[in-house]
Amino acid sequence: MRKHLLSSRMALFALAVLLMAAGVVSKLVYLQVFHCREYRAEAQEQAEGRIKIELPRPQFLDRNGVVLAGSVEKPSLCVMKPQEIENVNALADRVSRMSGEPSRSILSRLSSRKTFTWLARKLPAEMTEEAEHIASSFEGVSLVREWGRYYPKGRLASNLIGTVGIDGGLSGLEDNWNRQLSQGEREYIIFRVGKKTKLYPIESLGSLVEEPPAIVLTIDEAIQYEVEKKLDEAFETYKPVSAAAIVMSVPDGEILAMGVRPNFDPNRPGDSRPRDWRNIAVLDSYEPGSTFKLITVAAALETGAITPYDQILVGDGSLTIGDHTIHDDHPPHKSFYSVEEVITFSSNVGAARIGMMIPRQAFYDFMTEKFGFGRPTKLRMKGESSGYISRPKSWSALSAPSISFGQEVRVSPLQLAVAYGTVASEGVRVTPKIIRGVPSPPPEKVLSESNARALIRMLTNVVDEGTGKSARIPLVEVAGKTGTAQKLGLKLEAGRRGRIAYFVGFAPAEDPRIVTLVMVDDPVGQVYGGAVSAPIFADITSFALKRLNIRFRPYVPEDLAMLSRENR
Amino acid sequence: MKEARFDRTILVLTSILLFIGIIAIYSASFIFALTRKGDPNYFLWRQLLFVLAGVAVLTATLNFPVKLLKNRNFILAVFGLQALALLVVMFAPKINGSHRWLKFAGFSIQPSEFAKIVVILLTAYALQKKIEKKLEWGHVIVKAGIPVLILFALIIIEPDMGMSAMLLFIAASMFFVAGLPWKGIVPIGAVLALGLAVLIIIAPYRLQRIVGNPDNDPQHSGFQVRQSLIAVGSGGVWGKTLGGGSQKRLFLPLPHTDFIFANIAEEMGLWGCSMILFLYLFFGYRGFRIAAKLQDPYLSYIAFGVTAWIVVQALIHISVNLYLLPPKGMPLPFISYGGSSMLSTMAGVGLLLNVSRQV
Repeated sequence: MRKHLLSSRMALFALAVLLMAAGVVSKLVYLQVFHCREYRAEAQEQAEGRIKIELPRPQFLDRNGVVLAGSVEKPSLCVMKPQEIENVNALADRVSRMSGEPSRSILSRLSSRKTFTWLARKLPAEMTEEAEHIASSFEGVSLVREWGRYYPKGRLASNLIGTVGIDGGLSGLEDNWNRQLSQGEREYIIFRVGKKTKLYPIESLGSLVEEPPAIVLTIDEAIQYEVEKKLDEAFETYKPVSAAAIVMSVPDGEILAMGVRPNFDPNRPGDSRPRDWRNIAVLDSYEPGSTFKLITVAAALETGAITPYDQILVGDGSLTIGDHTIHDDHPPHKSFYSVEEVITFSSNVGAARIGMMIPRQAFYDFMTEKFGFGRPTKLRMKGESSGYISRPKSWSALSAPSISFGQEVRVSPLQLAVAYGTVASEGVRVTPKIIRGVPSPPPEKVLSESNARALIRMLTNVVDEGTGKSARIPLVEVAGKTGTAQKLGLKLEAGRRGRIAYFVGFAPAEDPRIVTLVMVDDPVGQVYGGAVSAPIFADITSFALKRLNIRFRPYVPEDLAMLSRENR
Repeated sequence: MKEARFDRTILVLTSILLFIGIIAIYSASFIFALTRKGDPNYFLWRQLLFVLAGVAVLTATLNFPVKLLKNRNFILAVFGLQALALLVVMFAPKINGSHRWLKFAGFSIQPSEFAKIVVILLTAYALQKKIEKKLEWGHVIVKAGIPVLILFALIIIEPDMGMSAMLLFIAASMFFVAGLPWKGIVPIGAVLALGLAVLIIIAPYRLQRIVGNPDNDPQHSGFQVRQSLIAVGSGGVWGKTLGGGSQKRLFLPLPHTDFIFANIAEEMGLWGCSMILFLYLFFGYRGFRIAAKLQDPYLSYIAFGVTAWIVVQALIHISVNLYLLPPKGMPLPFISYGGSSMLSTMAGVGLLLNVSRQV
């Protein structure tokens, strides 16, 4: 019946098909059962990579939400399977020209047996275009956009905020809070599509992570800008070694601005010397000079050594203790000064005599416990300077009178600003703050209100008729103290006189809200605090009052009031 | 002649394989499509279109009058058209180094795909004449051999070694099953072996492809095979889940056509591979069963030819993917992406179903 089609032949053919199928099945079993692990590893190795990307640090905002430090996507270049890259020399040269890294070290990474390597990491954002170009002209090179720190305001508050390197914070708040700021790394599995092709989803890795909530600082960007501007002008005019200015709100202690010279560009820290990164307003201490007389008088009043109505012998403006003679910079016009006049005319002899009236231990305790000298402030900055006051046991006969007008003692600019802040807030201790919204400790009275008011009155006199007339602000009653400290034990360069010009004060005097400290270290030409620092103080404080819209009672000093009366 | 139902099992198997194909193509091609065409669904949509066209072709061939199929002039006309199409394609611009494709309205048509059906018809016709007119084997070989060799020659100069070999294989297996005596098989086998040797001497790269170890040159010709083995092997017993394979990410060349089985093997594992293999073998069983049952020798040869073609082509595709055979671009019937292959396969199934009514 089936002559036309030989069943035996078809069976033979079917057998051949089955044999082939058997061959297929055995090869499948061989590959998929016995060698699965090797092939799986190989598939994974060529198609997958793992990279660690640092998560973005929180932004730093000023008190009004202006970004002072943020995270931007910065380009990095990487390759998977560097062995498969062609033209490695040309590639290394191109990358080297962009990143500045020697091409030899790039080449050594490219010739390694690793499956993944970075060519350049976290380049400045402006190099994105060049990095994209390299990635598109060399097969197998991929661009990653990593989160990197960026300071949109450049040098503004650079020494306060600090900067970061590849391994985290290098200086300033970035270093200080590094552990809290650093969000760690996250590992991503990246996919390679074909050999020598791009990695996925690598370009958008940065956008996969959210930025942590921002940290709001107490800084006011506009006031900070004013401070920076004035410091630049002072640096230009007086060519000092360094300078610092602090603007602090009282009684809450919020730091509105903190500027330092020299400063640096935090976006390119490598272009500056690490010592220019220091926030000297907090980390360094200096002789406070005459600004310290306020502390002496405060201690004398509080310990009952004197009353505000006492008369102090200043004689001809010199006082000899042992073989050392103290001189007044401005020779007194009478033999006795009231306590107020000691401050107003900044008499060294008067201050020394007041200081000698206070029991040593009480004087020491007052300075350290009430005003916080000799110990770090509550700002809790890494490496913060405690300043220096020796213990009364080791004081010589000259110690108390010297400390009284700001010698034999060292304080940081921040400590000094905080002490003036405590007087300004009528004797309630001020705790400096840099993060907004941190609760203040319960208020603690360290001076009686009447003594504090008396001290404020003395400070307004300094500006009205004493050494601080240049600190006047039109229509605002200003309280403050000049200081011209002598740096001791220093070798001076030619033309330098080793003086530190200070002005520390606050306004408006009837209800103080702003404390400002200006310190210019070793100015050339003018050296007196009243001439160098007081005008800067006036400009900054006046700006801050307007900026914060602080109300004040219009005030005209007596000499100006008389002038207008005469005109009438 | 009784009017019977066609073989439903074959239709069901065909549908299952087409369905698997659509899923496999999407999984295998979306990255390839995205990087090459900018649209991950590019190949999916087109394959769906091909399947629809294939169903139309299957319906047409299923209802094609058997009488006309047996008409000598019809067979000659079909042969003439096929030869003409292969001549025309010689003047088409080269694509990937060969004249295989005709560009038409955004589609590439590969005329040589349809030569398989023409060869089946020609050979079946000649073998039928042998029984009808009690012809000598030599006579039949010449009668079938001349047109088959013309098509073979036209395809080998494209060049398309795999396709032309497939044509010879189909014709030869039909002769074999039709009862060609062993004394005839041996010389024909010798001639074929000689031809193969000549082709290798003309182009030695072919030998390299056949005996070369893929590990010797993982970056170039062996790269494809190496990547295919990695895909299959890494699939393991249960696969990496559908869509979860990594080898299609431009490591596996042509993951939606010549290496689609490797992609399926990676994602579905031994389990999925065995299932697909079973479907093809079951298809073969049903097809051979029809061929064996058919009383009409012509229809029986057609049924055998179509079945042998589809099953063997599937096994060759799989073997290439497993490096049991040298790398040769051979689509997996019903599953690989491609319009011409889809239409010719569906036409073949249509014919098979058509003749299955005569059982």
